[in-house]
Amino acid sequence: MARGEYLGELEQIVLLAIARLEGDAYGMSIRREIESRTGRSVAIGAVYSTLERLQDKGFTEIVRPRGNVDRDGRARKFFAITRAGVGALDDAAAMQTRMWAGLRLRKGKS
Amino acid sequence: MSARVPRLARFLLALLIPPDERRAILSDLDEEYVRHIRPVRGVLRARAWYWRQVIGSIPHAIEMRRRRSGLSDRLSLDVVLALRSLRRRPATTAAAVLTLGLGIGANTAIYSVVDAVLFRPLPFGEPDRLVRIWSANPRGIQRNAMSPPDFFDMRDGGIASGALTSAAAYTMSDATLRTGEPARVVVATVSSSFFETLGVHPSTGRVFQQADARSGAPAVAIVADQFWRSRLGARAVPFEVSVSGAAAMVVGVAPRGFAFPSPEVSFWTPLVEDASSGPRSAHYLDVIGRMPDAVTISASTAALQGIAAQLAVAHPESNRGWGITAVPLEQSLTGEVRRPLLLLLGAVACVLLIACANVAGLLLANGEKRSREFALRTAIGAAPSRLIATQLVESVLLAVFGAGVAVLLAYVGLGLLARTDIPLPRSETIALETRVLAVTAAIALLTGLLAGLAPALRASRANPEEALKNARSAGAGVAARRGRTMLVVMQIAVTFALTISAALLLKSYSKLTRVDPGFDADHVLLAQVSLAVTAYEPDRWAAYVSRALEELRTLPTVTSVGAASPLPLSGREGLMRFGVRIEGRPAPAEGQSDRTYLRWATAGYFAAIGIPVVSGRPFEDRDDGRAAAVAVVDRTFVERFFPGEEALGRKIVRSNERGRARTIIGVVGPVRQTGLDAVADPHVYIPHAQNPSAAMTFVVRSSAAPQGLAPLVRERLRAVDPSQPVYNIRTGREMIAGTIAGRSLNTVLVGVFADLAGLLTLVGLYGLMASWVAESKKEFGVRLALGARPRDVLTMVVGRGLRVTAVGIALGLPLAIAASGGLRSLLFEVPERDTSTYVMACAALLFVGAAASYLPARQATAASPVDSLRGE
Repeated sequence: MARGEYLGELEQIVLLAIARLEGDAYGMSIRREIESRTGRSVAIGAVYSTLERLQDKGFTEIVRPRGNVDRDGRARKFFAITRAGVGALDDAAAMQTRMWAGLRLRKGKS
Repeated sequence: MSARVPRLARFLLALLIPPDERRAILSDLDEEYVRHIRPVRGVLRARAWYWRQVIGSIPHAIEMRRRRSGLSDRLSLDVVLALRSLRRRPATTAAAVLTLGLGIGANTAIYSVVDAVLFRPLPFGEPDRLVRIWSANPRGIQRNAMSPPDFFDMRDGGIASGALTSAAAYTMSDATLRTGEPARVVVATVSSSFFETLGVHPSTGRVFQQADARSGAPAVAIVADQFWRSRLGARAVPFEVSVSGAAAMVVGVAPRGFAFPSPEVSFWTPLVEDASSGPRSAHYLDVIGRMPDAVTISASTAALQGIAAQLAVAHPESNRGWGITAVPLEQSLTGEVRRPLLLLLGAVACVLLIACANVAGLLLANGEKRSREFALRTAIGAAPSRLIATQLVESVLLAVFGAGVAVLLAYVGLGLLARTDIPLPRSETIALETRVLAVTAAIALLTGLLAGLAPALRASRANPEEALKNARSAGAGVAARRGRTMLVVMQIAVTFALTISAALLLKSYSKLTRVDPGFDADHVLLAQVSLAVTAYEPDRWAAYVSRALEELRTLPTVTSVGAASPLPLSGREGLMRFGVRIEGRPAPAEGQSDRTYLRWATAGYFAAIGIPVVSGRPFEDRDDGRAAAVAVVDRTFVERFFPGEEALGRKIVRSNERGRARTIIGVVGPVRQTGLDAVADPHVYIPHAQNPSAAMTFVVRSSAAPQGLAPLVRERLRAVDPSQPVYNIRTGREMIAGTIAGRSLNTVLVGVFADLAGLLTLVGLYGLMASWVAESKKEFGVRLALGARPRDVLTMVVGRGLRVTAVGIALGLPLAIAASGGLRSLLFEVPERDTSTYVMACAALLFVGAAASYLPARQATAASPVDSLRGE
């Protein structure tokens, strides 16, 4: 897939979770972060599949901090946002803001 | 820690995730489950959470796979379209997935058994070169064990003539392991080339060498891997164990999973290869051989026959008339179960075929509703191939989901199977293996294509003009319905054959259970001992048994107690046959003597096991070593040797008792020895006190439920001698059930499959009739308006259902005859073309046909004349 596409909803949420976790972002911590913030249960498979897509689009990259391993003693894959990823998030937020600007729905919120 | 993770869920997910991400995802999931979810939510809710995670992840896992496979966009578009279309019709989808799941699941379960037992090669080096060799006796019994001297000559001669590269002999016996807690173990005594012949190498240590087989060589043993780990703490070899009171050095560990001649074997010890090892008439060795690559089994057999002929000339007194039987080892191991298992495989394949037809019917019915959609797509330029693809992708997807359900069902089914106590060779290797899952995947794919074929072809013939002109045109439905009718007819035919097979098996099984075994198994508890050879000298065996009997007699609710060996129905194990001579009659010619079965029994045995005493008296305590030699014979014996004469008081001489004559003091009823389906053979009982045997089974008859006595019996026998292991405690009922467990499982399974087929056929026929009635509502309305009575309409619809059924039965008849021909060897006292069974099966299927058409028929009678006229 080409770079610079729009972000899907889950893609946005996963990117935001990575940003929030500040270097502690791996599959399960991302899942937990999303669940605790949104109250929405997300399947671990969905997280991994989204991470893969984000990486294909060049929005995330893998970092491997030393010493952090999983239960089997394997180095864990940690994720960080790339510059393109930050840009895509910015675009998404800007687009949302523009779409919401001046709009007042009956049960509206911003 | 991860042991408590829901294993099946984890397995399913592991199957779907692409391998490169498998570890990461699963270990994340397990860690979360163990560290965060289970401690907070409790086990049950945590498991539910895990399952939700797995199910929620499945679509994503599939997507990840798709991304890797780089499937064409067109196919993935088809998949997306098909998924959407399936989601729009949840009821049809669920019905189809469940139907296919049942069909594929039954196939997966049975196939995993068949694969483990029949198809997987034996775990030996070049197993197709291995043969099983027997002595064939002059009386026409082809498979007899071999005597040690015969074996040595056969081996050496076979190797010298190039018929064999090596040969090995083995025999199994019970022993007591005195290292740690005393335990009964099974020991295989094997000739030194045993492991070499099988092409098996120990995982540690060494195999036997020729030096180990010399008499007087230090005792050595090889231990089974499982036993070594579980009971001996996986100690480093060599180490010493005490088996039956003698020390032996364990020099090697057999490879994991090695279970020859039986999974029960814990130790292999070398057979002493002494030139003068026993008489040629003592046949007790089982023999295997390995053939050279270039030699066929018939050439090898011919060469061995030649050796047997030479032996007959050299040792006429023991070997005259004896020959050789050689059969491929694989065939000899699985020969008895091959047919029943293949029968089961055939039965499940039928069920799958019917399930396929049902789903095809469902899709066809659906295709009618979707004909507008297809017509529209054709109209805007879709090629027929695209329409075919859409339909096929849809049905394959259904089959894939069905396969998911199937794996679940098969997993549960195999769990149930493992709990039944069926005597299947190699059953320890049955599992849902990669091989089995690959076959399941192939079956699913094939099923999907098969079920989608008819609907796909129909879809491709969509006529846009006609369909768009009048979406409700009935003309298009006719062809589809003809197709569906053919499918249903085929289902009925297959179901008919399956029903006949199941009914024949059931009938023969019920005849078998009604066979009188010759004794009364109710209220009886059995407990086995094997008096270790070195701890007990033969002269103390009788003392132990009589002390034990005294102890058992004082137990509450016990009405009578005895001991014997071997028990009725215990198969060929421990069975002794010997020649018998009647005093006062000329001795029969050598090799022509009449053989009878020998059993040991104590006082009280006949009463305890419920064998009726026909005349004379049973054994009593006074029939001991000092008293006159006596014997009890059964009625079959009397009929054979003393037809029309009085047997009591006559004297018989057993061929191996050096002329000691025994007086017949009693006659008892006959018992079945090898199985309920085998004819009763003549038996002679001798009192245990006069000729003690080491292996005895205590029989305790109680006025209460016998299970409750088990701990007491164990405790009392332990009190007599704590070092003597007591094993195989079971009730008489359990013993009988054990001998027909294989048959009963077979019968139950074929019955279940036939019912399943019947149910699926009912659903298929119902669907056909219902849609016909729905389409012809107008016609029924008109008929009713013109004065037809509701009963006439009812008869008309049901009659049509019955006609379809009758055609199915007619087509199924040759199928059923072929199937029951294949069953012939499995039937007991039931002819393969049992008329009453055929009639009953016809009636049953016609009933199914009537039942399936009744509801639609009722709906037809409710057609309103007004509505149908208005519709015009």
